[in-house]
Amino acid sequence: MVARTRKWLWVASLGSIALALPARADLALHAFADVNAHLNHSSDHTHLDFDSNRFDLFASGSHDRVTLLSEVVFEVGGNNEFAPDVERLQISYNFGDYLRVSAGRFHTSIGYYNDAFHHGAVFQLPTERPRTVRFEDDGGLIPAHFVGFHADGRVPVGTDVRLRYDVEVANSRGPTRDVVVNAFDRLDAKAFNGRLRLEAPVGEGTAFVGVNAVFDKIADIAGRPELSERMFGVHAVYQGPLLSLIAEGYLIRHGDPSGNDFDTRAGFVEVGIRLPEDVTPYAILERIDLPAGGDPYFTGEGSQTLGTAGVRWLFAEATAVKLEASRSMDTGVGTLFTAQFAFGF
Amino acid sequence: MRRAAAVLSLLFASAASAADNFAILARAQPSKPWSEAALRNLFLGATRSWPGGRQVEVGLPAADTPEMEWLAKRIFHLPAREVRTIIRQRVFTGEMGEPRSIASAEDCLAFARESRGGLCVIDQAAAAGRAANTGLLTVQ
Repeated sequence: MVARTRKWLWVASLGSIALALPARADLALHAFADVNAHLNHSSDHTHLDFDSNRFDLFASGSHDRVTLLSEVVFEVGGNNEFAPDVERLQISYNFGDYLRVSAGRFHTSIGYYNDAFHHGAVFQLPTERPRTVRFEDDGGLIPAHFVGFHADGRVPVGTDVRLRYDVEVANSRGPTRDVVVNAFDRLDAKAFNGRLRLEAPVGEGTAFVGVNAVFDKIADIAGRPELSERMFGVHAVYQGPLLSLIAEGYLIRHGDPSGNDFDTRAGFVEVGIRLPEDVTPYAILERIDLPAGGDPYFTGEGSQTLGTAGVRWLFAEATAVKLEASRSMDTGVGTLFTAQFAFGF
Repeated sequence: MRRAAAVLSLLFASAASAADNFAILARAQPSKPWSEAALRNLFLGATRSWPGGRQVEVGLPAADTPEMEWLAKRIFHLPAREVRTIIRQRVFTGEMGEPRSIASAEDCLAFARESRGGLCVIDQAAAAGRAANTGLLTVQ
């Protein structure tokens, strides 16, 4: 029943764009996908998996100042079956550079990665997002999606220097980290997210420096009370002709009704150097520090340091091959080698 | 120290700029020089409105045209396929609408003339025939 409902939901989300826009609207339909080979190698075992587990259908349409956007991803779940997942469904009205308002299900304006790359792997350097900013069903630490209201804009603060703001009010974060509250929020309190970012040209590229604050409540589940969530983040990014640098850091504090606070600190640095022929070697260093005794929301997690190195070759427009190795530096157990072919059309 | 400074300057800049045979044709804008950063923001949807309030509509040169090469090298300092991929990414993020594909100077002249706030790359010689309601944005 649930699977059937989800299938109709994605049909409806794509159909809504076609029906809601007037005849003169500009419509666009794109698809993104990736195929991967994962070789997990340790001293006593080597295991190979192939996957082709994501097919992303993206539709958008605009008419005058109104834009509708829908992203439906067909993903393989734990049962090895594809199932559609409506990742984004949002409507926006653009008043001007100083204000755009959106409503629906969207990627949260937290840090840089989350609303810069979305689900199409071809656009990002690594085969997977850094662990901290992965999606809810991939074990990420941030709420990657919100359902609610979003406003953003840019204010000039100097020659070519602008301050971008984002404000979001949305349903509370899911009672478990893999859940997004698409409707029927059990809590009266709503999540609030604010981001401020300075954008400035540096050399022949652009630098971004920003901060985030999230205030939220998380509904109780059996064996765990309702939690408060406060999240503070900083990010610094440079995107230039030769250098791509993304650094993000977070403090995530969960509080229980007894007054106990559980602090998780996480962050990563991703560096890519663009070489001739669109070949970009990259490296990511990531650290996740959970409180001693664990966090009541990030259950089953341990502190870890992750290292990733790879190379992306963008050999045609929106078509890339990546080779990557990643390893948890604390456990030292095994290295994951991944080859990915990612594309969009 | 000097070596470190040289490496840093290489990371923040690319080698050579393409010649300025081309410019940006824009609807309802005065002809004047714009900074590279401001022009990049227009093509990336980071600037959504023109001074005066009209919505920016991006006309993207077709792949493998001299106009696309110029836009990529002169404004972005990147290979053309990288720029086209980044613009796709910006469409995917919802930061900008689908760009109009511009195949020729005639296409660009018509798009700039007839759109509400369109911009596209044009050969400066062909731009002599532009409509009175369009302006030529050159690179500062």
